[in-house]
Amino acid sequence: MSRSVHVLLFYFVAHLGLIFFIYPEDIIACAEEGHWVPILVGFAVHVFFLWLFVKGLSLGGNRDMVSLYLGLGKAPAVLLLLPVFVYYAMVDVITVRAYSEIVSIVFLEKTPLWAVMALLFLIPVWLANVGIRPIFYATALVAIVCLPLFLFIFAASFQSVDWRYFFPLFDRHYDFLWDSSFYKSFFAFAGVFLFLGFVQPYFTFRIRGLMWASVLLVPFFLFSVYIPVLTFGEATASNFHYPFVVTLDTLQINWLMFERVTVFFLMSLLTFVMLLVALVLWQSVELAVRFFPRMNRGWTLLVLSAIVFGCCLRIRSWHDIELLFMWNTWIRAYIMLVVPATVYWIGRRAKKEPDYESISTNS
Amino acid sequence: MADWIEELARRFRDESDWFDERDSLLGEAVRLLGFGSLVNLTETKSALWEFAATMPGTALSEKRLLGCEGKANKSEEAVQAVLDGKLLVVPEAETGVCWMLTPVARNLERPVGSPNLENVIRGPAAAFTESVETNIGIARQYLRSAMLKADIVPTGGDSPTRVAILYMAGRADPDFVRKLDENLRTNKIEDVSTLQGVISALGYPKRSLITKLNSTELPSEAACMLRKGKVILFVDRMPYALIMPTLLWDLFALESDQNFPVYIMYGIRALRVIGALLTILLPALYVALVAINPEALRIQLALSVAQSREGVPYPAFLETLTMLLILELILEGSIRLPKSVGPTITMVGGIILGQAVVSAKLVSNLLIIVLAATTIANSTIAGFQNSYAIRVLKYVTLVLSAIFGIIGIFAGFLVICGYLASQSTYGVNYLQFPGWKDEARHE
Repeated sequence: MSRSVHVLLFYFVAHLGLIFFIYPEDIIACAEEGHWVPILVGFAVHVFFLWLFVKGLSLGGNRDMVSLYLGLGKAPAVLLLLPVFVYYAMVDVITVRAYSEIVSIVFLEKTPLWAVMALLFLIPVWLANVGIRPIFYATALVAIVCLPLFLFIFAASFQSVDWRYFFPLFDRHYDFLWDSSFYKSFFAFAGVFLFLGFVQPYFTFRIRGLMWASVLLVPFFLFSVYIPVLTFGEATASNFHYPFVVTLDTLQINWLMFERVTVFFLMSLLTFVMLLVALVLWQSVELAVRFFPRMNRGWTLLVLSAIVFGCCLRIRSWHDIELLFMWNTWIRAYIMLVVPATVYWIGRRAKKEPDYESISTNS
Repeated sequence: MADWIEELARRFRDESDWFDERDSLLGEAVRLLGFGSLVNLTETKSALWEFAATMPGTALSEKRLLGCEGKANKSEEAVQAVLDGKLLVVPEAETGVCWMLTPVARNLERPVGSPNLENVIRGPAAAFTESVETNIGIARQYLRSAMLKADIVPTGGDSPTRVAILYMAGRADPDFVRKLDENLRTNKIEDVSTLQGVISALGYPKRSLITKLNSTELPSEAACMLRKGKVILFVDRMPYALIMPTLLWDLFALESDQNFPVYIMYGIRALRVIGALLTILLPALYVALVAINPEALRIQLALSVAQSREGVPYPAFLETLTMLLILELILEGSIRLPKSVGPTITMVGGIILGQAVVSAKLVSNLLIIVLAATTIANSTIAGFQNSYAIRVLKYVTLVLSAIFGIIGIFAGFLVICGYLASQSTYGVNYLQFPGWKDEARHE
């Protein structure tokens, strides 16, 4: 139990942090009815490749992803992992920029955007500098406080749900498969799971526990889309930017002293996202340092952070973020499909070849 | 008589409490050397005579092995023994022989009494004293187990202090004990008479908000910690046990809670958790809701808050900071003052805070309520030394909330969590769940 709970908890809360903002909008945009089909299809794809990924890791002798790839030789490993590095940088840029935008829309209209971004970015940079273990331990502590708050508001968000909007159950066209929004929605899956390939020497986890954690996420994926749909109806919900946040703003909890519980909901998710950004930054630095051992950890982090923050500042409007989303669709597909598949393949190979162990440890 | 013994006698001759007496034991002339302030000479002499007369054998040299601690061969050994309160017996017939005896000591220790800092509501009320041996004895009384290992290590530079390491073999992590022992033995620089010195001697940076050593005066608490696999240090002249490693959970759980029914125990611990959270969040929440995000409050509440701040001439952040400063001053002041004057300060402070400041419209009365609640909440934390850390950490959230509002509170909370998570004692993370083994050790 104690061996994997931190990893599973991180997997869980990092997904929660990503689900409720951009994901509902994309899913509502890609289908007019029967939203559960694209949600579950996306989820099934995720779970399958997640399983492939962790299976490959465990076949490869529970080592981290980088040393598995390094078994192929340095050049192929760099080539194969370069997209991961680029994607991580983009994840940092997109999440920091997008979440600052949300914060500034919802409750800090007067604060300049760069100040919010600085806050949302500097804390993760500091955490990434402290190391992976503190990030996981901090996650546990944050989750103990913020998860109940989150669950309470999530439960309260069912307040004005009209279950009849659930119908029609089926989409007769299934044209979501040809919609780019559907592929954009994979952002909620792709950003997180690769960290499992980095935790090995520090933490261990059980595959079964991980599968259960991902199953636990299903209701949140479903209701992040369905709560706005059931509250407003599909036609209205599809007009909103951040439909779930808008739904939260309509909540009325009479016996609470707070008027806008949205703030607290957003904040608890934001802390999860900051932890995710911290871990992603740490992974980027780890990737760089593993391939080029002469690089100094602290400086690498500093330079990387400066670049990412510079990019965040360069992005002027929401339109640019959408553009970034479109651009990284291909990298996202690579992360979601190719990386797990290659890890599985390397893992299988490692199991068959007994001398693989020595090659990889030497490199 | 060897030269070095003569030199020793000469070295201390000018000390007013030094004695250098001639006596005869079984007809042999001996010299007795020592400090009269540490050794009760009259009783020691009679005990020596009695001892010499009743032991088998005839010559003094045969008997000396039975009562002696050992033989000093060097000047330094003898000096240290004398300073430790030993009696030196030097037979005049033999040259270069110097026996070290444990004499009847003058009673300089206070007896085992009740705790001064920690209150016990239900549970044994004995407390540790200043002497390492007494403390080990007390610990052995509370934990009658052959597994209890006690090791006294002298550590430090000019005036080595004795530090006892206690642990339960088989329960404590042997790796942890080894590192601790090594660090204490090799330490020749740090003076361990203060906890800062102890922490540096253990190889930790002094710049940390979180204490690496939890302390308790209560033997029952210490015994429980030993049983849980923790390591205890007794430093000579410190009347408490230092417990390692420290965990965040120690802020909320005390052994004596288990003297209550289970649900009451959960309740008490939950109160402490709430206390810590309130300390960190409440002042920050006040600033955030008053100054930056008043729209998060229900409109009636926001209005009444605004009303209570009517006429207050400065921003909420400064208001809170000033009042917090005064509160900290009162807390610090009441520690320094003698017990007879302490209540006066409390009363004056109470009047200043409670009435005068509000009616002078310098601060809002809501703030007074918030700060009073904060201070009370802060003191629920188990162990006074732990409450300092939380007291300091609340300023992180306060400052961030003054800039960013509610998001600043959460960001501050995350910073605090990250900071706590970055602390570890020989590989044991501060946020580790009690009783759980860490997966991999990385120093």
